Amino acid sequence: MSTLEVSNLNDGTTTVATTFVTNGSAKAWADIASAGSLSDSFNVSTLTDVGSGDRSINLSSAMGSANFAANSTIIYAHGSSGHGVRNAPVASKTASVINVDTGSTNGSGQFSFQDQPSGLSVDGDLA
Amino acid sequence: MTHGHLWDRLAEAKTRLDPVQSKYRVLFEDPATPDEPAKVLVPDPNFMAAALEGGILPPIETYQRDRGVPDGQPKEHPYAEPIGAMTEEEAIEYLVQKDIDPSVWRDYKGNRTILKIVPVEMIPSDRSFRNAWRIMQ
Repeated sequence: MSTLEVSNLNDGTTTVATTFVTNGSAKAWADIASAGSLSDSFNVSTLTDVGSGDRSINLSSAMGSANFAANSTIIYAHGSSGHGVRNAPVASKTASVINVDTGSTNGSGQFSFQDQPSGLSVDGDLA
Repeated sequence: MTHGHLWDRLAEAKTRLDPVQSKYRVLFEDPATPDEPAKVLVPDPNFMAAALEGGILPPIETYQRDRGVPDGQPKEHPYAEPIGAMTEEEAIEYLVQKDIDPSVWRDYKGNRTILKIVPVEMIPSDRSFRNAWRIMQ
């Protein structure tokens, strides 16, 4: 494998450090299958199936603190052939664990979406 | 050669290692919240590949020491020298110690079985009563 060692990137007018690019990439992501198993991921050690509609992602390489951005969505069947996407709220997070609520209770008290596939992306600074 | 940051090693490993789906799951209950359902720890396929390969993951002791490090303070595990290859069973034990609270796997002194490593086939596929799952005694 070849290694390209570059300290800075220049587009002709602006120069930025290579670390500006690498530091801006997602620090972790996960594609979670409907039954609570991981289809693919990066920087994840385990998924904890906490209960119905309740999942935690444990990171391999921790973030520097709990002050980072974590975004999660669920994908669900909608209509006869389509799919819908909803945000799944991040219930809590520490530097190494992100807990996501995938379930949703509607106005009639019905709990749904709890075991749908979901995705997670984490941005911020590593420890 | 320096071993660099754990995140960089994981990124490099993902480009060359095939993911490994573990044949095990870890069932556990939190003694602090006995009314909650049993939890299921699912090993990540890329993490398993890194564990079986060796030369990527830090010693488990570094994660345990980092549990006590306050937010924003330097952590040990990202920069620790990587350890060698593990078997799948050793990797599961590593994950238990990394991602489950010590109050479950080390400190619990009660009579109930609150942690079991089981084949993945033993986890029910029917999740209709997911919040009633308990570890059989």
